Amino acid sequence: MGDFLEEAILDEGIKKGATYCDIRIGKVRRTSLEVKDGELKKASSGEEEGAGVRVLYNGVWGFFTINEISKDSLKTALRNALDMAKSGSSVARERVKIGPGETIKDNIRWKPKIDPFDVPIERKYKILAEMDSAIHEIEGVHTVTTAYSDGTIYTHFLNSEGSDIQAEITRTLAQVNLVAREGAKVIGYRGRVGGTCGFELFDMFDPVEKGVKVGESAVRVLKAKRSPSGRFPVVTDHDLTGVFVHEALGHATEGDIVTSGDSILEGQIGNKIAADNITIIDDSTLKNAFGSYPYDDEGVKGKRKILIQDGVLEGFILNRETAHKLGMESNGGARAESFAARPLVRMSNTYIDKGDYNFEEIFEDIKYGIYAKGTRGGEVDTAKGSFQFSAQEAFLIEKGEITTPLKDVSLSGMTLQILRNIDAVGNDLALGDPGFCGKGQLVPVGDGGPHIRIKEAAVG
Amino acid sequence: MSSMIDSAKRIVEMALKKGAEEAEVFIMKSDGRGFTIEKNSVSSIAGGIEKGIGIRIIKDKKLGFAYCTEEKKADSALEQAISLSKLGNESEFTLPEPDKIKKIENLYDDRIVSYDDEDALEGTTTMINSALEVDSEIVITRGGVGYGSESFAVVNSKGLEMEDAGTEIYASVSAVLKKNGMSTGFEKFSSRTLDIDYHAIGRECANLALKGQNARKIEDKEMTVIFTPYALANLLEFITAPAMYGEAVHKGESVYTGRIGEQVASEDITIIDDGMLAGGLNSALVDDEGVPSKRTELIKKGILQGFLYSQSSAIEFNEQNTGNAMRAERFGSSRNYKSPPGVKARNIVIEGKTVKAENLIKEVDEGVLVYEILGAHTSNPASGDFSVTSPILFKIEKGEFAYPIKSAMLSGNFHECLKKVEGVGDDHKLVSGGLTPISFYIPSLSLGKVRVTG
Repeated sequence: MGDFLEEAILDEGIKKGATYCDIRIGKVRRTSLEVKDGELKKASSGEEEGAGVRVLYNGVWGFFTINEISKDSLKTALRNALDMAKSGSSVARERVKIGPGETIKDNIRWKPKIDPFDVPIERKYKILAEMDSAIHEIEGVHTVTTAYSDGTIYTHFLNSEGSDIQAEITRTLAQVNLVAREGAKVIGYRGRVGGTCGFELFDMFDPVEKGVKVGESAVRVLKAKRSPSGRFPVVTDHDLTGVFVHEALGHATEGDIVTSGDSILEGQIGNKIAADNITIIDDSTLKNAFGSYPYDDEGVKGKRKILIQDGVLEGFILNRETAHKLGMESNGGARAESFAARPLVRMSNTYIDKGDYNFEEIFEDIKYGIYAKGTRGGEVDTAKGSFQFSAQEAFLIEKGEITTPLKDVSLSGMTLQILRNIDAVGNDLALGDPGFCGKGQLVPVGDGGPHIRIKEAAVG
Repeated sequence: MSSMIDSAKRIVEMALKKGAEEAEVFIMKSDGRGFTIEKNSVSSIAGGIEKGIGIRIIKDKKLGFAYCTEEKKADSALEQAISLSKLGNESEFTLPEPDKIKKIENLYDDRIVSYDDEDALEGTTTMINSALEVDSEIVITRGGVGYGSESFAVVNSKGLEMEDAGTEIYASVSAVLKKNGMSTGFEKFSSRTLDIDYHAIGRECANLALKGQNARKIEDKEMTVIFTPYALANLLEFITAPAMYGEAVHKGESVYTGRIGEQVASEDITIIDDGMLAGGLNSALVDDEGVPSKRTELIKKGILQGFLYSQSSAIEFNEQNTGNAMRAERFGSSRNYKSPPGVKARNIVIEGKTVKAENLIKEVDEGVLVYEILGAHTSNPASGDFSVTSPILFKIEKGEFAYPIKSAMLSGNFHECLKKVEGVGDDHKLVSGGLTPISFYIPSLSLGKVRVTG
């Protein structure tokens, strides 16, 4: 904006009694395409901009968003945020405080190698057209919907402590949703490639190869037998290990869940909660990963956070508020869906670190079990620690060998039991498909890990 | 004439001047407040005004779409839409003609527009206190209250000029009780009018947590499952609704393809998509293309009747437009000017011969009563197979409530479950969707034989 307008707004916030005040100005530019069975169904492009003003007044947060950036609108936003926080503070039973924050001035751009903005739309379309025709080659695939999107997200963060950070990142994604059909049997499947990067994504990951893999597994599942249900040893691949760690552990380590009394991990720091061979990390600095970001939405630098080290709970994902409550330091875990939403505590890229088993060793001791691959997502009740996650396909394991293909399965368990039940961790660490995590707001995340063996999990 | 209609008309004119054959402008404005509760206290209040413009054009028989946040950026958005349109295939698509609308009751309440922060704060306090009155060891871990209004206008070059405005208030609370083991509870409420009972929400949530104390494990078995409205809504949202979309049906992606007139559910239930439901959470005079909302019977007494269409799928498959165009992102629960129109169910309503909800268990020899499920979005929408985890459920034996269960997995095929309706409750509730704008007005349903894994 210039003319130090934002600084003036922040000053006014403090003058009117706020103990802390920040402004996030956002500009987001996106292009998306959708092709169904060879035909372009949707082509959309646009730009949105706006700002969110947040104040902490007498221990209560006030937040107000606008999508018109002007002196008047920012002033209105500040006044509303202050008024709301004031009225809230008259009834609040507890006072929010925030831990110390570093004053940072930075202007950072994670410049994509190939800026999608410079790529002609025809080339983007071609990616989908190629996926579409390759996947349609697979016998049994009935319909194919492919989608492409890129987005450039610019954020200007300023706070009353003098931080002034401009950051710009780019994310690119291609995905397929397909339906396979045989007679009256129909199933739907999904696969994605994506990253916090530009069009070079498609030099790193071949979307056609990904789509074909998904198509082939859908057709295999269509003909597969139903999985036995009950409790079995289970081996999960990168994708499924990823969603497992995200659901089973990740959410319960989010600072706001912990401090609100909603996490089974409250008060467990320093305790052994997982098997010795388990180290779990949330890392927002991973190059190109879908959940990466340079600064969080409170102006704290993104970090690599060790959640579990050798089975011991070492840390939580924290923003400045929850860090203060827990006597810890923010590790850059505050994320908002956009400038229009207030930041919550969120995961970035969460994974189980690699172990020392090779692929064959993981299977060799299993007499009868399930090998589950790919993910259809999951969900958790963090208070009880009970969770569910779903695989795209599965195989029977018999006497150490991967044998009969099975239909897609879901797995379920209790966090504190299942983390102790992992008795083999592979040496083949990789992130799985990029995803979106919903917690009232939707944010891009990555997750993954090596192949792991769970001694016993409920399969249904 | 409102300023939104005026603005939309100017942009439509602009599009035609730039050579578009047809043009449509959608403008949306929302104004809302949200109060967050964390650990028995209000921690944050958020509000805001959001507005935006979605522009769709047809040029050389090809479609293009772009969006922006202000009218002064419409020129550049139009250029983008026109440039995108060059990419597409020629189609027979044409924008809808203006049509007559019918009034729908209870979608707008002035009392919500003038609702005060103080009123809402008093409400959150009442909610928390009412829960603590049930048991002082209860912790309301998370929750909140929100209210606001949303208005939208659709104008197109065929002379269609529609606008509507609505209000909504909602509240939700989750509780944890650590006493004899740990149990959890939750309660939600949504309404288009100001008829919220904060006291009841807090009390219901706490009672559920209290009822869940001393939970036990159960054996793996097939049994009857009574889904309460929240759990049922989850399955309907991710399994039944997508199977009813005209395009999926015509493309053979749905289990209902080619089965109109067939018995696909129990004769005891009728399933309707009602965009005109009085007080419905997803009701409006028109859909997001300006087409008057309709009431569409999907399944009548178990017999498959029809499917849901927007303008584009109605034209492509030569069917009647059912007013189901919705603008929403793939996993977005609110409508959104940034997305081109797609098809979504409006309010899914289940009707049937009801019994008192508390009597549903009397007919069950062995079963479970399920309040909450996790992972419904991982269901296979095409096959109807689901496998979900329930953290809040209770065992029923010989028609009586037996004991709370720690956690269990429920799996089966939901299309098949709907054929085995053992009872329909009289406890219809308004429920909003989890990851889509689809809403519900549904009762508890007792459904035959689901695999329960303890």
